[in-house]
Amino acid sequence: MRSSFLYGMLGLSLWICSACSGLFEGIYDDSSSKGNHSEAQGDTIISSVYLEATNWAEWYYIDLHAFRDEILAAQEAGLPGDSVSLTFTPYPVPQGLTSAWDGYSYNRTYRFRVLTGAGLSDYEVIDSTQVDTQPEPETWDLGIHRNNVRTHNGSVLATPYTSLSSLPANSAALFDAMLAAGEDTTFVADSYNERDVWFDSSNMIAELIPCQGIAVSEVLSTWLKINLPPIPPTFTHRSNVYLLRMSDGSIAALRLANYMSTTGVKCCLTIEIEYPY
Amino acid sequence: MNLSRLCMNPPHLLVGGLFLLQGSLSAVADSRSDATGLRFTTQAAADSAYSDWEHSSLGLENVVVTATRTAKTLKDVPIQTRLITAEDIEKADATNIQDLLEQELPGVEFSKSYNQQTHLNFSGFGGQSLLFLLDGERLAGETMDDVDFTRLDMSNVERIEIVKGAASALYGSNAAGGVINIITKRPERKWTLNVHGRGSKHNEWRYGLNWGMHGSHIQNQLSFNGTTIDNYSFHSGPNQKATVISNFYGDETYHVEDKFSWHPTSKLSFTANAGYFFRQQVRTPTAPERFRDFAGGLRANYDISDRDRLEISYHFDQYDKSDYQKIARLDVRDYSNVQNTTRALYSHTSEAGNILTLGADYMHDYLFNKNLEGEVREQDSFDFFAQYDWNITDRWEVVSALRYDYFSDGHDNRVTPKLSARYKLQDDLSLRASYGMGFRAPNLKEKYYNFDMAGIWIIQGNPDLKPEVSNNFNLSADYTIEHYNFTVSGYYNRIKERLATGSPYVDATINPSLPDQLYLNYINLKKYQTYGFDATVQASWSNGWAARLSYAYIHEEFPTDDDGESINNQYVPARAHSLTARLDWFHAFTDNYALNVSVNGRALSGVDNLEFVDYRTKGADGKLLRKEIHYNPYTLWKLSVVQHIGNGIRVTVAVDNLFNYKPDYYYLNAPLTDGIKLQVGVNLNVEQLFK
Repeated sequence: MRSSFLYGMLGLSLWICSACSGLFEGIYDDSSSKGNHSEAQGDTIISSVYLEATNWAEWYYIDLHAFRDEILAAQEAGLPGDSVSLTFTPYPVPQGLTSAWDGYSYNRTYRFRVLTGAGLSDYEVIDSTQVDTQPEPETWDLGIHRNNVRTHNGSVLATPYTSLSSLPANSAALFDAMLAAGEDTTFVADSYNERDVWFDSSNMIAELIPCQGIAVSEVLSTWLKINLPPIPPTFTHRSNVYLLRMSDGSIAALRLANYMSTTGVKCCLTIEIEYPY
Repeated sequence: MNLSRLCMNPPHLLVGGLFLLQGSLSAVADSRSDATGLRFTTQAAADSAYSDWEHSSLGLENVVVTATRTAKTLKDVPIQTRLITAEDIEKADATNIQDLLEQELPGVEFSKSYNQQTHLNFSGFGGQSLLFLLDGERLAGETMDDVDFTRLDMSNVERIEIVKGAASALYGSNAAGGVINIITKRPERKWTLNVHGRGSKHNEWRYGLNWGMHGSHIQNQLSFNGTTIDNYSFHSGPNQKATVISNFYGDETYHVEDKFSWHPTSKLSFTANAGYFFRQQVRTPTAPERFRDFAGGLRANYDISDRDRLEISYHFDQYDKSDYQKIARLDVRDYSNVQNTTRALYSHTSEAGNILTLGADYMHDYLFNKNLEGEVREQDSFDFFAQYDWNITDRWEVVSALRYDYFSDGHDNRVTPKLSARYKLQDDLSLRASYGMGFRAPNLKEKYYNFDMAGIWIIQGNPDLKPEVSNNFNLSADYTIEHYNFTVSGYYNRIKERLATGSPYVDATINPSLPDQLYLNYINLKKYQTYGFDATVQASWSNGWAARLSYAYIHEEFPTDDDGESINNQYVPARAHSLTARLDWFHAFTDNYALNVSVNGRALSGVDNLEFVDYRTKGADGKLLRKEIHYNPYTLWKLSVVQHIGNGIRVTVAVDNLFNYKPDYYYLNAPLTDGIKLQVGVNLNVEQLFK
């Protein structure tokens, strides 16, 4: 009887020593970053780009033409496509007027009745300020701010395809397939928007959200929607492939593969690119 | 073995539970022992298929253990204890502890926080001031300071003992507001097998099985339970005055638990338990939130002599939270609370029946949280206590206790006393009085938290927090005459240095790049007090009728800050008046058919709360402007019809929210109902089919 008691207590002590910081760690996944990936297939680049677009008050830009040229150059030099990485420079949302007003750039604070009313469609303007034009680099094709996207005089088409690998061989074949299925193949240009680009969350609990008035791609911005209410907001992700027709007529296939970091931080975007398509 | 696969597959969960059991130590328990290790007997043996239902009584002979850590009948226990029996739970048809407490107790209100986590207000106390015990063991993990109530499913519960406020000082930290001890079933027959299921609207399902075996030296009780309910929406009227909830986020849960006991000799017994719990809630389709718990323990009871008894136990509880990133197929853990607790309890009963109890606990508390400064924090705590239960005369009984607590992080420590007395004016009339001092050291989250809540505000821990000390007073009277029992109790709780979150404020010096950022700090509140009283009348007649009516009054003062200013409560305060009622009728028509009809209801008064206009607008005195919000009263009723068919089959048809109540506005403390709800369930006791 005594030996049973003692063995039991001995086993108990061993278990205690091994369990202080918990068990079954192996059922969870590692949160280390998976990084970018790029490669060239002939003149076309296939790339996966990771962008931490978490800052509420900054835009980031991608120059697809320059990115493709760098990857092709690297391949010619015998280097892997992954040796080329995009560097994202933040361009802050203007907070005031430092030069002559461009006639359309406003920052407006809205009171959205998200907690005590019908939601984002129920709003009033609290204040309005003329601000500088949104700064941007000399050359760019795609501008990204959290869940908002703008193009450089481009236009966008949403496709029913959900992976780059499932796309038809080229854009002409894709249009044919979409038309055959009765789908609309109209590319939509950016349009001026006053309530979707939220650049400050600090007054959200008071239902006050400052918004930047700026032209954005309403179509491409559907790849990530923020739903408010509830608080904290929830996200709706659309993983379809979008076609971006740029001002020179070339077309890129874009897909938002993921909008979270491996640690679960929202608006960390993994964007898949095939260019030209 | 990758246990993440278990989460979606109930049959695999059973295997997982057995795997966990095998991974634990062999052994355990005494059929005559309660979950606390104390001797325990149930009031009624089940003689017939309907005996639990038709022998309904006032229940005063039931044995309870929580208040004194010694076994006492309900009518003799020196500290007022509320008992909820397995029969009560079945009649309430409750899925989890929230369902049950809302129906059974007045003064209980579950509400929602901004991010829709569940918060309990129980007579002015909640979160870290209420101690939930499962078979005598505390639960790891919290969200917004409350335990995960969905872990506490009711299908395998023998009884629940509730000791409010004053008398709970024996349990130390987190017990100033009371102790709620949930005691699970143990097999009492050679074998038992219960299978049950229930369905309702919003694809709400509950299902499970409980399998028990009872041999001469061993017993085993295995239970598996699952629930699901879909997300759905609410629609509030126009011009809301405060935050409304627009979506109910459902979840799916699985819970497997095994309890094995072995008594090699008449003096020695071991009990081992192992359990796994999984919950998934989908607020964002691409990133479901997952909650898991792994629990296990071993308890040894040794009767040194007829008068001396020793219990040694170890308990492990690990509560994890993770986000499953569906796109990347990553299940990344961002929270883990691990508690390892060892306990020794010795009791000596004198010839006169007086009981000396000596005990000590040691706990290692490990907290991993990505929103914690340093991500990982650990601390050790220990306590020891002595209690003397003195039966002075047949009428007088006095219980006195001293407890010492120590917490390594900050070296917080204190001695707290407790004194309770019961006087039997006559056999059926008892008066009780008790005083208890409570002590709660700030926990690791309250000290080191740093959480940016989606940019709305940053919740900050405070390493300089002082421990909270409470003084609790309780008076009660209990009178039984024939078929009737009357209970009245009053209480007063005064808390110094109460631990809470303060009012949100702006401080541009913390991060100059975000001058408008709101912060919410953990603070000590100078003064906080509640008082109130409860009254219950219950009756049980021999013709199958039974009834109970309970009323609670609560006065909860707004907490005040260092300047004596009333501050905004993080949650809506308690409603002053509440009432619960139940009326039952049972009739056995034949040996093979009986019917039970019951009506349950609760009614809660309105409540006014002082709330900030928008956390920004300041008045002439420079302070944030506030407005008073009125929350409407409401009442909800449930009709249940239970058909007992043959041996062991029960079919339950219930109509919840009988009068189709829908709140005009789904404020945070409104009942989350979208109207009348039909529930149909079947409960099968397989072993009774073979009688």
